[in-house]
Amino acid sequence: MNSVIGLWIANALVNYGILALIAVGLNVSFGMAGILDLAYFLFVAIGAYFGGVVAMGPPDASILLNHILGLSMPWPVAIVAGAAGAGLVGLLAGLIALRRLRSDYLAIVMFALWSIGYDLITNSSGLFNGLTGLFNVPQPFSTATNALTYPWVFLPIVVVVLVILVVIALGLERSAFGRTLRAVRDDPDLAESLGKPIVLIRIRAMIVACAFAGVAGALTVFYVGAYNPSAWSIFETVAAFGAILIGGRGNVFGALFGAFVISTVSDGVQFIPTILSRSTLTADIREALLAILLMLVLFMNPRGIFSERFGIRVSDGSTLDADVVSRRTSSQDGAKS
Amino acid sequence: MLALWHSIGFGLVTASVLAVASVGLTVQFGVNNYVNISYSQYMTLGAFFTWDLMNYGHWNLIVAGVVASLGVGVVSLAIGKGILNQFVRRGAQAAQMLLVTFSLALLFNAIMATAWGANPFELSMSIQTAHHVGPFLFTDAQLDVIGLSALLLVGTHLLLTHTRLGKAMRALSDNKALARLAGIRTSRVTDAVWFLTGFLASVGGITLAVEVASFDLNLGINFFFVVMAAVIVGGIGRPYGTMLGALIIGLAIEVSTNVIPAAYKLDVAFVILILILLFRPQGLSRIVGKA
Amino acid sequence: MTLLEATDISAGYGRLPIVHGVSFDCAPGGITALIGPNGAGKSTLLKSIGGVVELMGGSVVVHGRDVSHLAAEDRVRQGLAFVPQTDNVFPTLSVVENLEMGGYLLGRSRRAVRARVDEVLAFFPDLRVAQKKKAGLLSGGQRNMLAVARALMVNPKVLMLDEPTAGLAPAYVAKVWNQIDSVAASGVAILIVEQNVDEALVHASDVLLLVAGKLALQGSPRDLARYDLSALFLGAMPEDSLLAE
Repeated sequence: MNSVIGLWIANALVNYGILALIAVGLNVSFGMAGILDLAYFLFVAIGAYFGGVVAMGPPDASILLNHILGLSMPWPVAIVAGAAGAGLVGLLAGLIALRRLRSDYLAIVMFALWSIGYDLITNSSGLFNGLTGLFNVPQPFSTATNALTYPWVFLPIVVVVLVILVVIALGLERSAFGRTLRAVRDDPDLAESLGKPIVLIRIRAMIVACAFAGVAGALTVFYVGAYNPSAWSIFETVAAFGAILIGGRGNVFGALFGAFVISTVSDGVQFIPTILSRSTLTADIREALLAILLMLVLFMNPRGIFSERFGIRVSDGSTLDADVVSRRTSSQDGAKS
Repeated sequence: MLALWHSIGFGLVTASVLAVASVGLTVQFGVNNYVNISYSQYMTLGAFFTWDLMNYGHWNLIVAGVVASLGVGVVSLAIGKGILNQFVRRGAQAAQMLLVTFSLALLFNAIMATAWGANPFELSMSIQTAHHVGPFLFTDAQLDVIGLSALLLVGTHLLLTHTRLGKAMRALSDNKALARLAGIRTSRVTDAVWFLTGFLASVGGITLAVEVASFDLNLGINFFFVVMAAVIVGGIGRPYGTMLGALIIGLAIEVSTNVIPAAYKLDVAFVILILILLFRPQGLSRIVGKA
Repeated sequence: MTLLEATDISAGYGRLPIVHGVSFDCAPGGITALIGPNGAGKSTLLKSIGGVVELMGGSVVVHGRDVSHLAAEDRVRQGLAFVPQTDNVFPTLSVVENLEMGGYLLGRSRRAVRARVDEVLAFFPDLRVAQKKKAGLLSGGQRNMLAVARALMVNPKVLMLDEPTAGLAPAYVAKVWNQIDSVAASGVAILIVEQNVDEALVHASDVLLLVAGKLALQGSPRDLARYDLSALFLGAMPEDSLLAE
């Protein structure tokens, strides 16, 4: 299994596992709570950076590696630190953005927050080493001899973490909190009139989602051993949203399936032969395919391939009684005409 | 003191660039009622087209810029009619359209990366001489940017206030359903809006490329939320409010460099955008009945 | 001669009809008032005739021409004008520009449009004094006047008004009704939704009572004087319904 194909499979599985985590997390904020979180990859990055600097040794100016902390902690602690850091920044973002805004305005606020975060991290070299990013991050179970087969070494870690977080996500989906989230997503006015503190509820969902993102980011930094701003361009968010929309909003298994589709596209383009004069061609093709895929899914079936009922019964928009639907339509119509 | 005056001068140049791009976006946003993130890529596309025409066609900047912008207008019309309108016809809401146009921006990014690569390009090659205008110091290129923007803004103003088509655009922006009841062929007016706003985005992108001297693939997307900030400050669908918004944002960005590192100057616009969206989403201009 | 013939109209939102099998017609110069309790479907009926809400069944014929399958903007071309109850002016456009948009169908000739604007303004003195003002800054009454004036720009054959006096000061209610009376006098067929039944009975030539989406009663104001309207509003069917005739 250490053949080229075998390693490709192991690498693809690790990538899939990490994207699955990212998707399961976004499924909490976007899928279940309906927050159009375009800044989502910022939190993946925060997790990666925090996880990295907690596990790394002190900064070393001689190799131009500047960063905060440098605690030399074991990697499981660093993963938890990544989750906590991302959750904390998520709380901050939530306090700013999650007010009663038009959902597209909220998305723009998140987008702008992403831009500010990106500028802060790339321009201040003392934080996470600026544009160069972190490198020499200690990798779990890494030895001099297993460097070539490292995907196989890392895969069990991803599997264990993914299983734990999927179990947590499923529990969340079926819990009272999960039902409340969907209620807030489907009819915030109704939820508020029933006394639900909707801002608080959405901020909580945001923190949970960001913590998931943080874990995924920390895994990325340990798998690659390095992390820099090119890993979290704003367009990476499209991959995560693609996974959720392919699988259906608010459904953990759907998110897992969607992540599989997206990750297959991402890893599949590696088979396209590299052309020297156009070194970024495979990356460009991946971007184009992801964009087209997401647009097609949005066009064909905005609710996703699996409905939210996959596995569980929940109330969603489609079960509203006709009276409410007609009242809504007429009030919208009245506001427009 | 001199630095302050110079930064105000830069602010006026940035405001000119912003004004053209954001007037286009506000007109489009007003008529469509959703944010088109791929608008940012029309800016970049205009700059690339212009570069091609100047380098392969050996045209001068103005001629190349006008032809390129007409081309981008056609692209905007084709994308608008062929893709975006189809989503709206299927009942897509504003939030969904945001994801659609976000994906579209990514697709443009991939296509432009394949066609032009990620390397930096330059539009203005001649050696610049500086001119003193009052307390300000402008280069030739900056004066061109200000002049061209002023010309286009006056042109847009005349179109919107003195022609049947322009007034119909404003009517659609105010209330599409009522425009239909007045017998306005809304689809034709919308087509004109796609073309016009694509043209304006392209000119905004070209003037931005001239102002920053060297540009790359990320020209438009990096500047999009600055444009968006001018639109939101001025009020959606309000070309005049948006011009004022462009002036405020342009000055804020450049004057801020006296206080904070220049690397963060665009973040000033992002912060203003966030504050306005949170506390005064209808914009700063006087509210005249439009939600 | 009838200008508007509505036959067996069903309409509503989604899959749910709110209006069921309503038929009536409007003659030139007549004011047909549509009355009924809240939620009876009066606005929906008007919107479906105007093409704003999709017709689920039945037909709309304007001046002998079936417009049932036309889009809203094309029904206007056939002489069917509709003034919605709210959001019925373009707020950032001036009064004159609003009228110009009303006259969009008159074509590109600036002179022809301007001439018609002047004619209409002569008819609405309150608007003439405010012609440069943005419509969003007008008072509620002026705004409704402007909405009516906007609809009149193209000389419609049928004018449909959805509660043009709702929320207006009493002095203004009289003014608006006077305008409506004189528009009718010029030969336009008017179909108007009115909450104030007394006012409707004074001005209308025909009255339609809509209850729960169905036509409960139809006749002249004098005919209707025989019925206890408040009971009918609550849903009681008249024993000798004029529909049975």
